[in-house]
Amino acid sequence: VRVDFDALYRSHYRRVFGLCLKLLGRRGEAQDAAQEVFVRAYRAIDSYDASQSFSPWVLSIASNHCIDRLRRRQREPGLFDDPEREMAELAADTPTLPELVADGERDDALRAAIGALPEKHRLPLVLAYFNDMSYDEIAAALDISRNHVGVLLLRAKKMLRRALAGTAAEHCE
Amino acid sequence: MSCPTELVLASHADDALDAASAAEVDAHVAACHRCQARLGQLRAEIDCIAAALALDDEHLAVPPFRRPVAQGTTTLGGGFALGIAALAAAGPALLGVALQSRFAGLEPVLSWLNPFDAGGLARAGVRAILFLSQSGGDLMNSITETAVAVVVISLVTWIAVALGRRTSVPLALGAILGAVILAPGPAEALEIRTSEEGAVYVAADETIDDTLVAAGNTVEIDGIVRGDLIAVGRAVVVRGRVDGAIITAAQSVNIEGEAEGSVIGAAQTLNLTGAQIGRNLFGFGTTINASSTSRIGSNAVVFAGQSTILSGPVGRDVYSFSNQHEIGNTVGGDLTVFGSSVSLLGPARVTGDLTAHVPTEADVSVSPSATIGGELRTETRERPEPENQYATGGYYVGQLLRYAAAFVTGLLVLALVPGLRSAGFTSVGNGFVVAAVGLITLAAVPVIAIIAAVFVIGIPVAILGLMLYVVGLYLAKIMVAHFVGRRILERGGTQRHFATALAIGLALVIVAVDLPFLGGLLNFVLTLAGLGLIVMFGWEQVRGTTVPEAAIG
Repeated sequence: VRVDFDALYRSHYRRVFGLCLKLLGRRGEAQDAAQEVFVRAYRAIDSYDASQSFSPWVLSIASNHCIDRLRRRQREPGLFDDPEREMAELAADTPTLPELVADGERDDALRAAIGALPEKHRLPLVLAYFNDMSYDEIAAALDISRNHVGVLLLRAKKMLRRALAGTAAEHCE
Repeated sequence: MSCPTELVLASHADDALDAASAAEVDAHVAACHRCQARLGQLRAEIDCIAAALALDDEHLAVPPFRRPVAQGTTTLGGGFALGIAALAAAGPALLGVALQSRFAGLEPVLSWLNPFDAGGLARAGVRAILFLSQSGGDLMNSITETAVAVVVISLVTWIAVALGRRTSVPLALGAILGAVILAPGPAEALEIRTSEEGAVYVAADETIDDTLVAAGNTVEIDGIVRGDLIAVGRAVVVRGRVDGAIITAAQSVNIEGEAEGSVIGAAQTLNLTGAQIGRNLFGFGTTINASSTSRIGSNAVVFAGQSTILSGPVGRDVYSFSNQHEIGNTVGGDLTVFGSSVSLLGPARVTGDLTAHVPTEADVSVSPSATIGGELRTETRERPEPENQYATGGYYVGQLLRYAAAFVTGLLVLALVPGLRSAGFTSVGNGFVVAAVGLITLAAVPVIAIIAAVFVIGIPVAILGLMLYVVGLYLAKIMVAHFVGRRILERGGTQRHFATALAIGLALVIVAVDLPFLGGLLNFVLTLAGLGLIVMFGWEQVRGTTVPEAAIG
């Protein structure tokens, strides 16, 4: 079966670009990355099973490509190499996000806070909640342990809560 | 069980616990109100994050997909084939012009493009300025129209590609609109007919009230087109009537009907058999033949590789670049020919001057019954005794010097402008666009310079523009050489220094442009490609840094 690649490109570009933008954080780089993802997909189209959905296939290429880019961006090779310290930093209960910010201003503030997260926390967060990947899939993509994924996600959420606590104080009090 | 940690609860909220742990947590949560509430909060938090992450770029424009070149050839559509057929039709014309310029011993049409021939450049520059100051104004209209014709032909070829691929429809329509605006006619709307395998046929009793864009293997028009006709295919035949202009690119073009506007045609053979053309003829081809029953209302500007035979009357001037010329009827204005021979046959009558740029006086034959109202001028050049340049030592020393000079220049430029190192075309279609940009630049800059030079105040602008143009021409092949070298190294799977790519590419390009016969054409094509690359690179820089109203030379 011949695949209409142009149609697939048109229908999936926004989603792939969105993932790249959320992972890489820079618009220009995300555009380059999205093009590169489709070039890779185009070259590997023979390995795509047309009976399956195109979306997970191309999104996995996209997340791998963006992770590669981020690794190259980092001077030090180990982006995720200290699970113990992360673990120790997880403090006790704090209010969760919905409790902190009213619906109206939540999305914008939250988006900004996600954008400001360090890469190692933003990556698993985007993969889990934008790309709907399981802990196992994220662990494989980032080459870390499954447990570490859980730690990073919880840590990311705590950082978001802390960032939004300021916003909440401004708006609600 | 004591209360689970927040990490465990959060993992459970993410459905990431194994079945046994999940069951254990569920059992605890059922009994512990605090943990139940906490789990609910964590789940709500996930929804909240997912909502914030959800796509907010619904209106994002999807840029065109740049197909990688290695596999692009496997998806060549019929449109590409048509586009290439059209180019193939124009190719022999360029080849012919290149060849005849060699044979005719003229100042070779293409040699001044040779960036390594500094003397030739200086001569060309001086001559251009002299020409501009003396008779630039007189030829303005014809040259401008020729440039417009070149642009229109490029647009038509591009349309063929775009239509065939059935993508970028708005862009294709934009290009058609451009072509229609440039070729004025009574067009009001547009009808597009394409047939990649078969024929596009407008029957004798059919009338099309709009401009017709037709692309097919054969395009036959027996009926009436009220607007312009833009036709691309292997064979184009017009027997009917076109109220506007006919713009066509095909392997063979036969016009037997009427066109009230101009005819702009690129074809291997362009025949006018009984054609009635209201305005100008711009013909590009290998042979161009106008029968005695055909009539051209205004000017004829033709570039034909082999022969141009004009047996029908032409209302005004004729400019013809061709190997052989036969003029057999009235020319209302001046007749100017460049080639190896020109024959003015029996009934011919040239109202103005006949200027023949031919090798010797003997190459002009004027029948006793032919008349010339003005002067007969034969501009000949003694042909140097042909010698085998490849057998002289000086030739090889010269080549080495060319190589060294180009290499050093290339190194400098690539070191100073690192962005140029990655300039190139990523697909066949992209290459097409680059070459078209090169062609437009090649044609447009001298025209703009002429326009500027006609006004005294514009002369410095013209000189500056021409200098930039000459620099661009010199750099063009160096850029292509670097691109070629880079691609070769990439094929080999290695990433090398740009100097290595430049060295390899330059060696190939210098050999290629010096091949006998083919070299001229290659030189021309490579220069177009390089010029296009440089202009597009410059344009991207300008656009990227949003410098307003920046001019690109």
